[in-house]
Amino acid sequence: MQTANDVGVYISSVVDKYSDMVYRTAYHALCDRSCAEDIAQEVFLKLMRALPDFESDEHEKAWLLKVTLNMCKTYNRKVYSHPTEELTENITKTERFGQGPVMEAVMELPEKYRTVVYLHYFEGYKIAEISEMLGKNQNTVSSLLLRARKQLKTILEGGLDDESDRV
Amino acid sequence: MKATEYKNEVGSLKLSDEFKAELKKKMLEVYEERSSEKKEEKITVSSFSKKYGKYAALAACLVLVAATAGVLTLRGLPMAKSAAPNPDAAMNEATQDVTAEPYATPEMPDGPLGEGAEGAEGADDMLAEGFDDGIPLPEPAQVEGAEDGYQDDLPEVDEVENVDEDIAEDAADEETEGSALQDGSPYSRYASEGYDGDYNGDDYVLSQRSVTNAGSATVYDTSAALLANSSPVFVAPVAPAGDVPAEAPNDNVEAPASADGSDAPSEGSEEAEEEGDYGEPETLMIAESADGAVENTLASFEYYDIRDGVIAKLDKIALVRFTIEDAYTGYAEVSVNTTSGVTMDVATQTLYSININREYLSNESEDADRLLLNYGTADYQLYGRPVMQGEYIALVYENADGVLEPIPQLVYSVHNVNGLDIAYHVYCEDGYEVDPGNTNMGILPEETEAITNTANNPERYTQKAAVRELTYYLRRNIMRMEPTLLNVSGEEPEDESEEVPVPTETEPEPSQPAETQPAQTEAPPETEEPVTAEAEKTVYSNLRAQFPTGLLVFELPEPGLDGLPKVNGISIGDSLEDAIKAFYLTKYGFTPDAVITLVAPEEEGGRSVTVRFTDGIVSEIVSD
Repeated sequence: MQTANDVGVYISSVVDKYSDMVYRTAYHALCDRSCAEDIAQEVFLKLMRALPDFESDEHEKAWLLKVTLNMCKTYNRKVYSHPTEELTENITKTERFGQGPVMEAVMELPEKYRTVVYLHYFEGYKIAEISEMLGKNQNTVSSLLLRARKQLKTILEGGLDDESDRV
Repeated sequence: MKATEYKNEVGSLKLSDEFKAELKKKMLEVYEERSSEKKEEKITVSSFSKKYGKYAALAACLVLVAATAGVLTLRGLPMAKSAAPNPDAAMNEATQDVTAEPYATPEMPDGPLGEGAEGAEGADDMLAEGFDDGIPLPEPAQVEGAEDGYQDDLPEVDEVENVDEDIAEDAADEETEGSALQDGSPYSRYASEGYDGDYNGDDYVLSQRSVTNAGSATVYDTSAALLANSSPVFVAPVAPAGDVPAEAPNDNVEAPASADGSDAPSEGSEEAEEEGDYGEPETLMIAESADGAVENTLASFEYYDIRDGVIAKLDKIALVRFTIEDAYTGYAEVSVNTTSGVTMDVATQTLYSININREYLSNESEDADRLLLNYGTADYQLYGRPVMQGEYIALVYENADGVLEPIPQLVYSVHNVNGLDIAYHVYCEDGYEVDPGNTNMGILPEETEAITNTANNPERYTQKAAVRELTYYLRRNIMRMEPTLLNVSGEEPEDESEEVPVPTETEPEPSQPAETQPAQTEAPPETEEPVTAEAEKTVYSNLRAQFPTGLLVFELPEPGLDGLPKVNGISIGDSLEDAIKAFYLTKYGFTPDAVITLVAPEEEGGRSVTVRFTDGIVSEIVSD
């Protein structure tokens, strides 16, 4: 990236290629669109501040995902430490999730399950890779996936109808 | 349900074009700033180094010397202080995380969600090489210690605020879970026998999603019949055996119709149990305050909803631990010393005589006999609200009749499991499950645990936490609201400024053994006499223990600041048993009201701390 033009091209390509991925990852972790947008923006600004020399596209993607997950973790800690922060109970599930029944069911899962489900089923990462990414051992990731599937099965096969109107 | 469906749904989740355009613009700005900063830095450093190079080198040497001296000084400090929040911790973590080994993007799997994910294992060959060291770091975790005034006076702040500890505990949790699963257990650590509490109170403060094993329970017509047939009435609770939910032992069930006329669940109806479709009356979730102004009608069971919507509106509150002494089921049976009597719904409520032995918000031991009115009758045990028996912790307020009432969502049954006091959350509400993403920690229905207080009093609890951690969490969180504390003992309120009570005596009684040594210290002082068998048999009410180097750790509040001290991790509210273990005094016997004075070795400052017990609980820790 020697010229301003090169930079512009790089920025455009990296945003077009990865911004949705970063946003979805953050959304799965935080369950909040505006927060996910904030995280996405911060991740890319960090990228520009550092401009690491990536060895490959995969390296770049993994870096972005890792930074995103770390920022979400940090954000969640802040929320725990700041309980007075605005909550989202008054937003209906449809407003919150609104993408479809499976997505809605996934978003019902605890955060650690959501992230694993997203990375595995959408991003296509394997258990070994997710364990590297999240810093958990493979058994833990397997267990999280197993439980997530079990819970999804329960949620999607019944019991949610009564819940749909509840805040 | 297919994975492709999920992918399609997730795929439709995109950032808007406007957002992306704005993002690109900001990124370009950041890049330009970065470039200009680098140029300035280069120029500045270059000219500076020419002029002041030798001075800079000298200053660097001085800084190095000062830093070395500082480190040595710190290492020489005799006493350990409370761990301060470490804002660098998250940065360190982030450094490790971001610089961890990367991974490559594999191809997307196409199988349905219901199929095994294990097939995706074994792709280690896709791992690429490591990240650069110079890559940017995520934001460090915020340390909010300075933002609110009351954190300083609470010892548990570090548990939440100290990111280092959080990270360590996270790692420990994962290790535990991982190793448990490696052992072949399908259950999470939260349901295991070895569970000893969870550090994050948000996870367990509110949680319940099941009712009882009502289908297999014996049901009596009246509370009196229940109490009469439960022998003994206030029997010690039966601890759960391992991970397997205990079943109520009596299979002879004849469930009566519920109070609202709806059919009770059929015997052993799995469907009814799983869905909890018992038609629990709405009144069970409504708690009116003394003046009727506060109604707990929240449909959401988030802890913060309860706190802000109910607790914040109550005049005076107390977080008490109490034992049920007696139960009264109707007006005829009630003989209470109040001017107006007690207003209660005899169909759904029971009046109890309780003995309060601890109030956690003020952190004081109590011995107060009070009346408590709570939902639950013999009939309502079917709906998860049996007559209370045994020991509980609850957040209570005083109603117009002078009777205590608990916040229904904050009632915990206390059981000693494997030597550890565990609080089980007993609140349940059909159709209003707590958001599992926030509270149930991913516990599956089959991982829930049943505890049977008596053979005829089945309750199913799904959440548990070590009493110590639960009460720390609640206390810390509620005290942020600066509530007016309810004086449960009925005595004159004490000065609120007295966070740590001043001891009346700090010296050991002359008649008691003046000096002895910890019984199980690794390196007992040479001057001390060996522990004899006779000494082991002695029961002490007052003991002065001189510790050898390195075995006594005081964590005392900073001078001028409020706070609670800890000695070897023991603080006010801990049990005598825990304390004597922590003080290495397990070979000695102590009375429940013992006073132990712990003396640090001279090289550690010779400080002494007096720990006073009341009814087997640490009630005071006072430093000299």
